[in-house]
Amino acid sequence: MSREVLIEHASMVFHPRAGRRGDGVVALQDVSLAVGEGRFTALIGPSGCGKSTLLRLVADILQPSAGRILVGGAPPGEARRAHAIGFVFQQATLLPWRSVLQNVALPLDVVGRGARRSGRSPEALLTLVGLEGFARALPHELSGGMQQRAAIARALVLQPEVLLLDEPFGALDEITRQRMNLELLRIWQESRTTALLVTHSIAEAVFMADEVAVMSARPGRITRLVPIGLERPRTLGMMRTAPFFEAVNQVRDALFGTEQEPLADPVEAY
Amino acid sequence: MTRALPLLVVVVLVGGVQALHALGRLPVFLPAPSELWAAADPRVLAAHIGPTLGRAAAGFAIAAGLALGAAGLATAVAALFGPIYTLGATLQAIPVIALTPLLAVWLGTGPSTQVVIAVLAAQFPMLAGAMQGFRAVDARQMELFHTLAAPPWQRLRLLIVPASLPYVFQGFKVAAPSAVLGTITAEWAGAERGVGAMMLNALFAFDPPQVWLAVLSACVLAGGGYALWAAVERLVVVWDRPAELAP
Amino acid sequence: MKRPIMRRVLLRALVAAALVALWQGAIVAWEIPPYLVPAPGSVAAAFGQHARLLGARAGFTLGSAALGLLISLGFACALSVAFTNSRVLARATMPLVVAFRSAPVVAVAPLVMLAVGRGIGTSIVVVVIVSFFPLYVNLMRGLAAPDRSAMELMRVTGASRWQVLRYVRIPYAMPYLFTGLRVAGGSAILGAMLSEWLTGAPGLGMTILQSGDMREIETLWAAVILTVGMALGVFWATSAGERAVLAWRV
Repeated sequence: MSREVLIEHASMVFHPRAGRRGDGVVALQDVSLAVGEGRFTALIGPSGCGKSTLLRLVADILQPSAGRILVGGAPPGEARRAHAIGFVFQQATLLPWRSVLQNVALPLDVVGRGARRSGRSPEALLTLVGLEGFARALPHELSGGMQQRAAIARALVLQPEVLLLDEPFGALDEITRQRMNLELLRIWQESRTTALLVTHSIAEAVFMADEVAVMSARPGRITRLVPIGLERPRTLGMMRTAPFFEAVNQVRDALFGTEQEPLADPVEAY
Repeated sequence: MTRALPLLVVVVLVGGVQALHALGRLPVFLPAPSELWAAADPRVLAAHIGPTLGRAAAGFAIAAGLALGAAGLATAVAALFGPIYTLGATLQAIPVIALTPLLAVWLGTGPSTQVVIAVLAAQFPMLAGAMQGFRAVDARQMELFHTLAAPPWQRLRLLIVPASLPYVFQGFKVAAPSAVLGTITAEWAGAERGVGAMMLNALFAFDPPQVWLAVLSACVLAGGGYALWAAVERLVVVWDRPAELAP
Repeated sequence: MKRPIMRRVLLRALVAAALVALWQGAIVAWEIPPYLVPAPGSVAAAFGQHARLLGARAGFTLGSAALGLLISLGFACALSVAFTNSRVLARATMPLVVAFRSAPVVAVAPLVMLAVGRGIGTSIVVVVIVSFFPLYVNLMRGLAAPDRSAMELMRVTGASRWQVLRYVRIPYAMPYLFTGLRVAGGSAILGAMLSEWLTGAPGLGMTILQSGDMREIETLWAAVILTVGMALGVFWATSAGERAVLAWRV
């Protein structure tokens, strides 16, 4: 199975519940996107633009109303059943009754140990995400950032072809988030998966991705693709370079339009 | 300090009653602690507590099996959720006082009547707890298992059962005293032995120390049932405790 | 408004008739012997035969329940009004209230009987104890129910504490009072009957127990049906009262 993600003219309409009146809400309209094998693409847009919905279509949590999605040349359902998809939620969603190590090993318990040998053991993955001393701890004993690292290790334990990240660090503070982003890039490069990251931070999208897909809301569409020319591996120092700012400005322009509207009330600027 | 307070109150109360006894100022229905101690015959107490404990435990166990099974069925078949809940609530609402004599006619005055009453008294808290618990899984955890393509059996074993445990234990904690109190009420309607029979006999003979001993036994059994499941819960449900160790 | 009430009564009568028909049908279909489940006809005959006895026994139980409920209501009203006006007092007595709530009838009734003796006294005290908590809690809730603006209006007009109580708090508390009565009424009847099991006082609870022991199955069923009827009657009466005082709200 190859590792590319292909989204072709996907639309998603949420219909009102049976028995209730009203038109459906168009969450996504005619979205097309290709993420090449081993590439890192970020989805950015205002809230309500359907970026999380798009991710859930790729993960086969939701089914598109129209259009086609292929993960490694197969429908998402097939990819999911082949355990080709790793999903990291906005909240860590660790099972509170399992230790950190048991949480990382959960996918192996589901599939049946031995049925599919991972390249890396859960213990090795814990080391990869920097949690080697916390294998026996329970999730509530960990900080938010550590919980999220465990969730990433869990997403990698079946060696997925595609890693889907739904604002994985959205709930963390800025400093932790910065550090986690660096770690995530390191892990991604080592695991050689295709990554699709949903975020609402412009700097994060530019820093992480090879390509940023900018979305707009109502209806959710991809309005522009911004290629990011920064070298790999990325370093924090790059965030102070001209190419970085240029990319950030391109994404911002795509989000808000080229002409910056003046602020109505100067006091609100603070 | 706050934990010692109830204990202090009990000590003061017991001491006060004993002091009043020494002064000869106690009403006849209120025996002094020393009189209770003297009246407590372990063999007699065991002869009454044993049967009550056995009936209550049997009723509790049967009710637990039925309640967990019914809750599982209600969770698996959505259409049955409402009817099963209503059935449990209706059975709960039938007054013991009307049912016990009928059961005694149908089943005889052996222990089966008391066990059935204990089952009826204990079933609903466990049913309600389990039904709530089986649905306590949050949407994101379900999505996680969906992305892992987990088969139903694994979902049940790895997700639904552990997630429901806090609720199930909550039901057990309420149901255990209910089973004990239901058993004793049923014993009032006719039983040779048991804490309920001990109460009736002692009241008939106007033996205040024995009445008090029986009442205290009832409270200890009921409270003990609660404490037992609270202890099991604390051993098993280690994850719901506040994050005291979080760095 | 009159026709829906008529219809409701008719509906309930139909349900009752259907239940009786089912009952008779089950006996015929499965050939249930009369010592297990008597036929509706023979239960009705028992009602007629023991009408005076059953009436007297039910009267005893209802009387002790009503008297206990009334005393309990008096306590609950006095305490809730006092505690609404004094937070300190309310907090200080909270453990006592909780003790009242968690004390099971099974443990309370024998001790009451030791102190009060056989007869109606035990029934009344037990009813007072079991019905106090639902009444008290609902009254407290009701007295705290008035919305801020109503209270502020009273303050602006310069009303005294008693005027606030009379014109705002008590009217607001009425629906809660009936909710409390509905819960307390059920437990009052049960408490009274359970007390009779201990004391042997001549109420409906005793009738159920005795007729069971003597294998007078028809009388047993008649008494049980009468008990259920009494409980339903209390429930409907308090619900109707609740609707009546709630009418101004809707």
